[in-house]
Amino acid sequence: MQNSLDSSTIIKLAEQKKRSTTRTQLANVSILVVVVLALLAYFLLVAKFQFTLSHIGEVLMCGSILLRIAIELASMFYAKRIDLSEAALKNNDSILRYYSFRKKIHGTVTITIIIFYSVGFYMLTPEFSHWFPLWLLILIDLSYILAALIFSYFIRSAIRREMTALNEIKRLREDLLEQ
Amino acid sequence: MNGMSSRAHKIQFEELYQQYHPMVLQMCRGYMKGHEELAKDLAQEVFINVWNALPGFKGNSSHKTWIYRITVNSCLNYLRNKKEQANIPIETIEQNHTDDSQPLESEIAKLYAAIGLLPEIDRLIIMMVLNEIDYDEIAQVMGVSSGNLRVRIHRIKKNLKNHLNNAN
Repeated sequence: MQNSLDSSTIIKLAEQKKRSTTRTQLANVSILVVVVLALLAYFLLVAKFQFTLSHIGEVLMCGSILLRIAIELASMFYAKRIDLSEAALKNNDSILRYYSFRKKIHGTVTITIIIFYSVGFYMLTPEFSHWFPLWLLILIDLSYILAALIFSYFIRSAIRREMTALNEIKRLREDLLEQ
Repeated sequence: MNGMSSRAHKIQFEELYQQYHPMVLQMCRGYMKGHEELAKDLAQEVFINVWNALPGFKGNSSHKTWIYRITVNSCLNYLRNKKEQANIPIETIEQNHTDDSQPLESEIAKLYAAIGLLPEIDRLIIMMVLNEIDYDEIAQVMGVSSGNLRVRIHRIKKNLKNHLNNAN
Protein backbone atom coordinates (compact mmCIF):
# COMPACT_ATOMS: atom_id res chain seq x y z
CA MET A 1 0.00 0.00 0.00
CA GLN A 2 1.09 3.57 -0.54
CA ASN A 3 1.61 5.91 2.36
CA SER A 4 1.20 9.65 3.10
CA LEU A 5 -1.38 10.14 0.40
CA ASP A 6 -3.34 13.30 -0.26
CA SER A 7 -7.08 13.42 0.30
CA SER A 8 -8.01 13.07 -3.39
CA THR A 9 -6.00 9.84 -3.66
CA ILE A 10 -7.71 8.51 -0.53
CA ILE A 11 -11.09 9.32 -2.13
CA LYS A 12 -10.08 7.43 -5.28
CA LEU A 13 -8.94 4.45 -3.20
CA ALA A 14 -12.16 4.53 -1.15
CA GLU A 15 -14.29 4.54 -4.31
CA GLN A 16 -12.24 1.70 -5.82
CA LYS A 17 -12.60 -0.33 -2.63
CA LYS A 18 -16.36 0.29 -2.49
CA ARG A 19 -16.77 -0.76 -6.13
CA SER A 20 -14.65 -3.86 -5.61
CA THR A 21 -16.60 -4.91 -2.48
CA THR A 22 -19.94 -4.43 -4.25
CA ARG A 23 -18.65 -6.36 -7.30
CA THR A 24 -17.51 -9.30 -5.12
CA GLN A 25 -20.83 -9.45 -3.25
CA LEU A 26 -22.86 -9.22 -6.45
CA ALA A 27 -20.61 -11.76 -8.18
CA ASN A 28 -21.46 -14.41 -5.54
CA VAL A 29 -25.20 -13.78 -5.93
CA SER A 30 -24.93 -13.56 -9.74
CA ILE A 31 -23.18 -16.95 -9.96
CA LEU A 32 -25.97 -18.54 -7.89
CA VAL A 33 -28.65 -16.81 -10.00
CA VAL A 34 -26.99 -18.09 -13.21
CA VAL A 35 -26.85 -21.63 -11.75
CA VAL A 36 -30.56 -21.59 -10.82
CA LEU A 37 -31.50 -20.16 -14.22
CA ALA A 38 -29.39 -22.79 -15.98
CA LEU A 39 -31.08 -25.53 -13.92
CA LEU A 40 -34.54 -24.13 -14.68
CA ALA A 41 -33.71 -23.89 -18.38
CA TYR A 42 -32.46 -27.48 -18.36
CA PHE A 43 -35.48 -28.79 -16.44
CA LEU A 44 -38.08 -26.85 -18.45
CA LEU A 45 -36.59 -26.83 -21.93
CA VAL A 46 -34.25 -29.81 -22.22
CA ALA A 47 -34.97 -32.57 -19.70
CA LYS A 48 -38.73 -32.15 -19.25
CA PHE A 49 -38.88 -34.77 -16.48
CA GLN A 50 -42.08 -36.81 -16.14
CA PHE A 51 -41.70 -38.67 -12.81
CA THR A 52 -43.12 -37.10 -9.67
CA LEU A 53 -39.90 -38.06 -7.89
CA SER A 54 -37.95 -36.04 -10.48
CA HIS A 55 -40.23 -33.03 -9.98
CA ILE A 56 -39.58 -33.15 -6.23
CA GLY A 57 -35.86 -33.38 -7.06
CA GLU A 58 -36.11 -30.28 -9.29
CA VAL A 59 -37.85 -28.31 -6.53
CA LEU A 60 -35.28 -29.40 -3.94
CA MET A 61 -32.32 -28.45 -6.16
CA CYS A 62 -33.69 -25.06 -7.26
CA GLY A 63 -35.16 -24.33 -3.82
CA SER A 64 -31.88 -24.95 -2.02
CA ILE A 65 -30.03 -22.57 -4.35
CA LEU A 66 -32.77 -19.94 -3.97
CA LEU A 67 -32.43 -20.30 -0.18
CA ARG A 68 -28.67 -19.77 -0.52
CA ILE A 69 -29.32 -16.60 -2.60
CA ALA A 70 -31.67 -15.30 0.10
CA ILE A 71 -28.99 -15.96 2.73
CA GLU A 72 -26.32 -14.16 0.68
CA LEU A 73 -28.63 -11.14 0.35
CA ALA A 74 -29.39 -11.21 4.10
CA SER A 75 -25.67 -11.43 4.77
CA MET A 76 -25.05 -8.34 2.60
CA PHE A 77 -27.82 -6.52 4.48
CA TYR A 78 -26.24 -7.38 7.87
CA ALA A 79 -22.80 -6.33 6.64
CA LYS A 80 -24.15 -2.98 5.44
CA ARG A 81 -25.61 -2.32 8.90
CA ILE A 82 -22.16 -2.38 10.51
CA ASP A 83 -21.46 1.26 11.30
CA LEU A 84 -17.82 2.09 11.97
CA SER A 85 -18.76 5.43 13.50
CA GLU A 86 -20.52 3.76 16.43
CA ALA A 87 -18.84 3.39 19.81
CA ALA A 88 -16.30 0.55 19.86
CA LEU A 89 -18.41 -1.78 22.03
CA LYS A 90 -21.55 -1.22 19.92
CA ASN A 91 -19.60 -1.69 16.70
CA ASN A 92 -18.06 -4.87 18.07
CA ASP A 93 -21.55 -6.11 18.96
CA SER A 94 -22.79 -5.38 15.41
CA ILE A 95 -19.87 -7.37 13.98
CA LEU A 96 -20.55 -10.10 16.54
CA ARG A 97 -24.18 -10.32 15.35
CA TYR A 98 -22.98 -10.51 11.74
CA TYR A 99 -20.54 -13.33 12.44
CA SER A 100 -23.03 -15.16 14.67
CA PHE A 101 -25.45 -15.04 11.74
CA ARG A 102 -22.68 -16.39 9.49
CA LYS A 103 -21.99 -19.13 12.04
CA LYS A 104 -25.65 -20.19 11.90
CA ILE A 105 -25.52 -20.19 8.09
CA HIS A 106 -22.37 -22.26 8.02
CA GLY A 107 -23.77 -24.73 10.48
CA THR A 108 -27.21 -26.26 10.11
CA VAL A 109 -28.38 -24.08 7.22
CA THR A 110 -25.49 -24.88 4.85
CA ILE A 111 -25.59 -28.57 5.74
CA THR A 112 -29.36 -28.60 5.13
CA ILE A 113 -28.89 -26.84 1.78
CA ILE A 114 -26.23 -29.34 0.69
CA ILE A 115 -28.39 -32.29 1.80
CA PHE A 116 -31.49 -30.91 0.02
CA TYR A 117 -29.53 -30.25 -3.17
CA SER A 118 -27.86 -33.67 -3.09
CA VAL A 119 -31.09 -35.55 -2.33
CA GLY A 120 -32.77 -33.57 -5.14
CA PHE A 121 -29.96 -34.48 -7.52
CA TYR A 122 -30.14 -38.19 -6.72
CA MET A 123 -33.95 -38.10 -7.08
CA LEU A 124 -33.35 -37.43 -10.78
CA THR A 125 -31.33 -40.63 -11.13
CA PRO A 126 -34.29 -43.06 -11.66
CA GLU A 127 -35.55 -41.02 -14.61
CA PHE A 128 -32.00 -40.45 -15.91
CA SER A 129 -31.64 -44.25 -16.00
CA HIS A 130 -34.20 -44.32 -18.82
CA TRP A 131 -32.02 -42.05 -20.95
CA PHE A 132 -28.41 -42.87 -20.11
CA PRO A 133 -26.48 -46.15 -20.05
CA LEU A 134 -25.57 -47.47 -16.60
CA TRP A 135 -21.86 -46.60 -16.88
CA LEU A 136 -22.68 -42.97 -17.64
CA LEU A 137 -25.15 -42.83 -14.78
CA ILE A 138 -22.52 -44.16 -12.38
CA LEU A 139 -20.03 -41.64 -13.76
CA ILE A 140 -22.49 -38.76 -13.22
CA ASP A 141 -23.29 -39.86 -9.66
CA LEU A 142 -19.65 -40.40 -8.74
CA SER A 143 -18.54 -37.08 -10.23
CA TYR A 144 -21.24 -35.41 -8.16
CA ILE A 145 -19.67 -36.90 -5.01
CA LEU A 146 -16.25 -35.57 -6.08
CA ALA A 147 -17.68 -32.10 -6.77
CA ALA A 148 -19.47 -32.14 -3.40
CA LEU A 149 -16.23 -33.07 -1.62
CA ILE A 150 -14.29 -30.22 -3.29
CA PHE A 151 -17.12 -27.81 -2.50
CA SER A 152 -17.21 -28.98 1.13
CA TYR A 153 -13.43 -28.42 1.44
CA PHE A 154 -13.80 -24.77 0.38
CA ILE A 155 -16.78 -24.28 2.69
CA ARG A 156 -14.79 -25.76 5.59
CA SER A 157 -11.89 -23.35 4.96
CA ALA A 158 -14.30 -20.40 4.88
CA ILE A 159 -15.96 -21.61 8.10
CA ARG A 160 -12.57 -21.89 9.85
CA ARG A 161 -11.63 -18.35 8.78
CA GLU A 162 -14.91 -16.90 9.99
CA MET A 163 -14.90 -18.85 13.25
CA THR A 164 -11.41 -17.49 14.01
CA ALA A 165 -12.77 -14.00 13.39
CA LEU A 166 -15.79 -14.73 15.61
CA ASN A 167 -13.57 -15.88 18.49
CA GLU A 168 -11.45 -12.75 18.09
CA ILE A 169 -14.57 -10.54 18.23
CA LYS A 170 -15.74 -12.31 21.39
CA ARG A 171 -12.31 -11.84 22.95
CA LEU A 172 -12.37 -8.12 22.06
CA ARG A 173 -15.82 -7.79 23.63
CA GLU A 174 -14.62 -9.30 26.90
CA ASP A 175 -11.56 -7.08 26.76
CA LEU A 176 -13.69 -3.97 26.15
CA LEU A 177 -15.90 -4.76 29.14
CA GLU A 178 -12.98 -5.55 31.42
CA GLN A 179 -12.05 -2.95 34.02
CA MET B 1 -25.99 10.23 -0.33
CA ASN B 2 -28.24 11.41 2.55
CA GLY B 3 -28.68 14.91 1.13
CA MET B 4 -24.96 15.61 0.87
CA SER B 5 -23.88 16.57 -2.63
CA SER B 6 -20.81 14.95 -4.09
CA ARG B 7 -18.96 18.30 -4.01
CA ALA B 8 -19.92 19.01 -0.38
CA HIS B 9 -18.86 15.45 0.53
CA LYS B 10 -15.46 16.02 -1.04
CA ILE B 11 -14.93 19.47 0.49
CA GLN B 12 -15.90 18.29 3.95
CA PHE B 13 -13.68 15.23 3.66
CA GLU B 14 -10.70 17.36 2.61
CA GLU B 15 -11.20 19.64 5.62
CA LEU B 16 -11.44 16.68 7.97
CA TYR B 17 -8.40 15.05 6.40
CA GLN B 18 -6.29 18.20 6.79
CA GLN B 19 -7.44 18.78 10.33
CA TYR B 20 -7.39 15.27 11.76
CA HIS B 21 -4.82 13.30 9.78
CA PRO B 22 -1.98 14.04 12.28
CA MET B 23 -4.25 12.99 15.20
CA VAL B 24 -5.26 9.74 13.46
CA LEU B 25 -1.67 8.95 12.47
CA GLN B 26 -0.56 9.46 16.06
CA MET B 27 -3.21 6.99 17.28
CA CYS B 28 -2.19 4.50 14.60
CA ARG B 29 1.49 4.82 15.57
CA GLY B 30 0.67 3.87 19.15
CA TYR B 31 -1.55 1.02 18.04
CA MET B 32 1.07 -0.28 15.61
CA LYS B 33 3.77 -0.11 18.30
CA GLY B 34 5.57 2.79 16.61
CA HIS B 35 5.84 1.02 13.25
CA GLU B 36 5.67 3.98 10.88
CA GLU B 37 4.80 2.21 7.62
CA LEU B 38 2.03 0.12 9.20
CA ALA B 39 0.73 3.22 11.00
CA LYS B 40 0.47 5.15 7.71
CA ASP B 41 -1.20 2.18 6.07
CA LEU B 42 -3.73 2.00 8.89
CA ALA B 43 -4.31 5.79 8.88
CA GLN B 44 -5.11 5.48 5.17
CA GLU B 45 -7.62 2.72 5.98
CA VAL B 46 -9.19 4.97 8.64
CA PHE B 47 -9.72 7.80 6.15
CA ILE B 48 -11.15 5.42 3.55
CA ASN B 49 -13.70 4.51 6.24
CA VAL B 50 -14.23 8.19 7.10
CA TRP B 51 -15.00 8.92 3.43
CA ASN B 52 -17.53 6.08 3.30
CA ALA B 53 -19.18 7.02 6.62
CA LEU B 54 -19.28 10.80 6.05
CA PRO B 55 -22.68 10.97 4.28
CA GLY B 56 -24.16 9.28 7.36
CA PHE B 57 -22.67 11.77 9.84
CA LYS B 58 -25.60 13.03 11.90
CA GLY B 59 -23.82 15.63 14.00
CA ASN B 60 -24.73 13.93 17.29
CA SER B 61 -21.11 14.28 18.36
CA SER B 62 -18.19 16.47 17.34
CA HIS B 63 -16.24 15.53 14.21
CA LYS B 64 -13.30 14.79 16.47
CA THR B 65 -15.17 12.20 18.59
CA TRP B 66 -16.71 10.75 15.44
CA ILE B 67 -13.29 10.34 13.81
CA TYR B 68 -11.88 8.83 17.01
CA ARG B 69 -14.66 6.25 16.95
CA ILE B 70 -13.91 5.36 13.33
CA THR B 71 -10.19 5.21 14.15
CA VAL B 72 -10.68 2.87 17.12
CA ASN B 73 -13.03 0.58 15.15
CA SER B 74 -10.76 0.59 12.11
CA CYS B 75 -7.76 -0.30 14.29
CA LEU B 76 -9.59 -3.24 15.87
CA ASN B 77 -10.86 -4.42 12.46
CA TYR B 78 -7.45 -4.02 10.85
CA LEU B 79 -5.73 -6.52 13.08
CA ARG B 80 -8.65 -8.91 12.95
CA ASN B 81 -8.62 -8.83 9.15
CA LYS B 82 -4.84 -9.04 8.93
CA LYS B 83 -4.25 -11.57 11.65
CA GLU B 84 -0.89 -12.47 10.18
CA GLN B 85 0.33 -9.01 11.19
CA ALA B 86 -0.91 -9.38 14.73
CA ASN B 87 2.60 -9.90 16.04
CA ILE B 88 3.95 -6.58 14.89
CA PRO B 89 7.53 -6.17 16.00
CA ILE B 90 8.11 -3.23 18.29
CA GLU B 91 9.81 -0.61 16.18
CA THR B 92 13.61 -0.61 16.53
CA ILE B 93 13.76 0.36 20.16
CA GLU B 94 17.25 -1.00 20.65
CA GLN B 95 18.73 1.09 17.84
CA ASN B 96 17.13 4.32 18.97
CA HIS B 97 17.77 3.69 22.63
CA THR B 98 21.55 3.77 22.27
CA ASP B 99 21.60 6.79 19.99
CA ASP B 100 22.69 9.64 22.29
CA SER B 101 22.51 12.26 19.53
CA GLN B 102 18.73 11.95 19.45
CA PRO B 103 17.56 11.71 23.05
CA LEU B 104 14.01 12.84 22.28
CA GLU B 105 13.56 10.21 19.56
CA SER B 106 14.99 7.66 21.94
CA GLU B 107 12.46 8.62 24.62
CA ILE B 108 9.60 8.51 22.12
CA ALA B 109 10.76 5.12 20.86
CA LYS B 110 10.90 3.89 24.45
CA LEU B 111 7.36 5.15 25.05
CA TYR B 112 6.04 3.42 21.90
CA ALA B 113 7.85 0.23 22.89
CA ALA B 114 6.23 0.34 26.34
CA ILE B 115 2.81 1.09 24.78
CA GLY B 116 3.42 -1.80 22.39
CA LEU B 117 3.58 -4.17 25.33
CA LEU B 118 0.02 -3.29 26.35
CA PRO B 119 -3.01 -5.23 25.03
CA GLU B 120 -4.57 -3.70 21.89
CA ILE B 121 -7.55 -1.97 23.54
CA ASP B 122 -5.31 -0.54 26.27
CA ARG B 123 -3.02 0.82 23.56
CA LEU B 124 -5.94 2.68 21.97
CA ILE B 125 -7.12 4.07 25.31
CA ILE B 126 -3.67 5.25 26.39
CA MET B 127 -3.08 6.94 23.02
CA MET B 128 -6.27 8.96 23.57
CA VAL B 129 -5.14 9.79 27.11
CA LEU B 130 -1.76 10.93 25.75
CA ASN B 131 -3.60 13.04 23.16
CA GLU B 132 -5.31 14.72 26.14
CA ILE B 133 -8.80 13.56 25.26
CA ASP B 134 -11.32 14.04 28.02
CA TYR B 135 -12.07 10.81 29.92
CA ASP B 136 -15.82 11.13 29.30
CA GLU B 137 -15.13 11.50 25.58
CA ILE B 138 -12.91 8.39 25.62
CA ALA B 139 -15.71 6.52 27.41
CA GLN B 140 -18.09 7.62 24.62
CA VAL B 141 -15.66 6.47 21.93
CA MET B 142 -15.17 3.08 23.56
CA GLY B 143 -18.84 2.70 24.54
CA VAL B 144 -18.12 1.93 28.19
CA SER B 145 -19.10 3.73 31.37
CA SER B 146 -16.92 6.59 32.67
CA GLY B 147 -16.41 4.77 35.97
CA ASN B 148 -15.25 1.62 34.23
CA LEU B 149 -12.92 3.65 32.03
CA ARG B 150 -11.33 5.56 34.92
CA VAL B 151 -10.49 2.33 36.74
CA ARG B 152 -9.06 0.94 33.56
CA ILE B 153 -6.95 4.01 32.78
CA HIS B 154 -5.51 3.85 36.29
CA ARG B 155 -4.48 0.25 35.66
CA ILE B 156 -3.10 1.01 32.17
CA LYS B 157 -0.97 3.87 33.50
CA LYS B 158 0.39 1.60 36.20
CA ASN B 159 1.28 -1.09 33.64
CA LEU B 160 2.80 1.47 31.30
CA LYS B 161 4.94 2.86 34.12
CA ASN B 162 6.15 -0.65 34.95
CA HIS B 163 7.06 -1.31 31.32
CA LEU B 164 8.92 2.00 31.12
CA ASN B 165 10.81 1.27 34.35
CA ASN B 166 11.75 -2.17 33.07
CA ALA B 167 13.05 -0.61 29.85
CA ASN B 168 15.38 1.77 31.75
